[in-house]
Amino acid sequence: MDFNILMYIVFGVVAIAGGLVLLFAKHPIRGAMGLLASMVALAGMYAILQAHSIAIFQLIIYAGAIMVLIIYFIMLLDIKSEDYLKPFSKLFWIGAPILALLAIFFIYKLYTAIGGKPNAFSDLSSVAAPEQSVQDFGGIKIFSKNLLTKYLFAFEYVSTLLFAAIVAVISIVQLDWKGRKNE
Amino acid sequence: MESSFLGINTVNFITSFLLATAVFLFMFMMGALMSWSERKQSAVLQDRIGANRASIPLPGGKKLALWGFINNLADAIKTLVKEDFKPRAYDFLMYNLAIFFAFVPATITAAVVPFAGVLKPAEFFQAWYLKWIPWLPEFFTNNLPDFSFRVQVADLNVGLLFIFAISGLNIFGAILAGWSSNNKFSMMGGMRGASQMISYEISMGISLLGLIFIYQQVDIWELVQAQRELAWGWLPKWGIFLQPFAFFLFLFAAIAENKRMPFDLPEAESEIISGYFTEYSGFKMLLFMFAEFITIAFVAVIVSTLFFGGYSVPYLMADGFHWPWGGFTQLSHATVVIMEILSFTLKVFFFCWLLQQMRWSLPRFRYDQLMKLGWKILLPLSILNLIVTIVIVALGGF
Repeated sequence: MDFNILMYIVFGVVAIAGGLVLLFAKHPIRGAMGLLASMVALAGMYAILQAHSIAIFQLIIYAGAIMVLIIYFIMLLDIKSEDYLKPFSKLFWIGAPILALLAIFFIYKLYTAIGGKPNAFSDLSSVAAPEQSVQDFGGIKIFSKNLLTKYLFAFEYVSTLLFAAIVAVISIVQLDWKGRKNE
Repeated sequence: MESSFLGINTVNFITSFLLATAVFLFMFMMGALMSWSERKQSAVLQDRIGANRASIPLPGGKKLALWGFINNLADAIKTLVKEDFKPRAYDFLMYNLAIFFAFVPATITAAVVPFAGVLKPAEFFQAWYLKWIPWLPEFFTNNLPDFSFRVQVADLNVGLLFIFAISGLNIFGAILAGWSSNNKFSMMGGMRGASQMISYEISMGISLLGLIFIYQQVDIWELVQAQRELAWGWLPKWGIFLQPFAFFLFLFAAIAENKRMPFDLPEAESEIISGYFTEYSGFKMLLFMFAEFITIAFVAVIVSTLFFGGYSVPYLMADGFHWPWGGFTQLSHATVVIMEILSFTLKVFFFCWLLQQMRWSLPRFRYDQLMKLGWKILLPLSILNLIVTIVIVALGGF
C-alpha cells in the first residue's frame, strides 16, 4: 500500500475517533481535546490531498484560534455544575431522526460513488488533485483566487449557516433554563 | 539516472533523513547553547562569574569545566534522576499531554527553513579539503553526477504559514499545563500565557503581511531567493531594508509570543512562582525550559531568514562573489555552500545574543501595559505598516 494512502486512513480513523471522544467524553476538556485531534487529523488529510493551503488554514484557524478560545472558556466555566453533565437536550428526539436521515444520505452517496469499484479505497486518484497541476493546486495564490471569486458565495453562505447554528444553540440553552425554572 | 546498487530513491531518502537529523540537532544544540549563554551572559551583565563549578576531573589534577558547559550536562543528569513529583489532585492525561504540546511544535518548525542553497554532492566533494573523504566523492561522481538537493528539510509552498500554524499549537501547552496542575499559580500562568500568545500572534502575523506582499510569496525558499537579488546593483533586497519597521514590530511581537523577558508574565517568578509549569518537576520541567530555549532560537532563525536574507551572503552567487564594482572572485561549490551555512549560523547566533541581552536589560511589564502594548500599539502600527506597504507597492514601488 502506498504510504500516502496509509496515512490518509490513519488520519481518517483519528478524525472519527476524535469526533467520538468529543461526543462521549464526560469531561469538557477531554471533549475539546478530541475535537482538536479531529481537526488536526482533517488538516493532515487535506495535506495528503495536496491542498496545502487549506490544511494550513485548518490548523491556523481551527486548531490555533477557535480551539484555544473553546478551551479558554471551558477553563473559566464551573465544570462541577450538573448542567454540563447532561448529555442530551430535550430536542434529541427531533435531532436524532434528522441525523439518521443525513447518515443514510451520505452512506448512499458513498455507495454510489465507490460501489462496484474493487480498488476504490486504495485508489485516491478520483479525489486527489490532477497530476499536471499538483505544484500549483495547493498553493496560496490559486487558493486565494478561487476563494475570492469562484467560492465567495459558498464561503459567505456557510458563515450564515454558522450564524444559524449560534442562534439554535442559544435557543436550546434557553429552553433548558426555562424548563428548569418551571420545575 | 545511472543504475547502481543505491537507487536515486534510496539516496533521496538518506539525504532527507540526514538533513532532518541535522536540522533537529541544530535546534537542539541551539537550545543547549541558549541555556548555557543564559547563565553566562546574565553573569557577565550582572558582574558575576556564573556557572563554572560542574567539571569533569582530568588525570593530572586538572578539571574540565568548559566555561560552564559541563553544568548543562550536570543539569540533564540531575533532572533525570530527580523524583517525579506530581500534584495531589491533577488531571493525568492533560498534565502529560501539555509537555508534548510545548515541546513538539518547538522542534519541528525549523523543518521549513532553508539552511543553505542547492547542494550538488558530486561537485561538493571535489573541493581540495574534502577529497580525503573515502568512497563518497567517487560514488557521487560515478553514479549520481546530476544529483542535487536543497538544504531544507521540507519545501512546502505554504512554508511561512506552516510556521504560524505549528507554533500556534504551542498555546495548548501553556493552557493545559496551567489547567491540569490543579494549582492557582499554574492556572494564573496558563491564563496569562494563553491571552498573551493570542494577542501577540495577531500583530506578529500582520507585521509579516507587508513582507509577503512585497515578495508575493509564502514559500520560504522563494522568499530567501528573492532576498538574494540586489537593488540598484549593490544593496541586497533583504527584508530589513524593504520593511525596516516590520522588523521591529515582528521582533517585539515574537519575543512576547514566546513569553520572554520583558514579557515573561506567564512565568513571573516573583508573582506566580513559575507560572504554568510550577507543578512540573524533574525532566518534565526541563522539557518546558528547553522548549522555551528552542523557540527563542527559532525566533532568531525566522528573523534572520525573513529579514536578513537567510543563508544568503551579500554578492555571493553559486560560483563565487560578484562584487558590485564589477570584480569577480571565483569559489568552489563546497566553499559557497559552507559559507552559506556559516552565514546562516552566524546570523542566528547574533539574534540569540540580542534576545538574551534584551532579556537581562529590561524590566518586566505590568499586565495591563502588556495588553495595551499588544492591542493598542503593536497591532495598529502593524496594520499601518501593511497599508503603507500596499500603497507603495500599488504605486509601483519595490
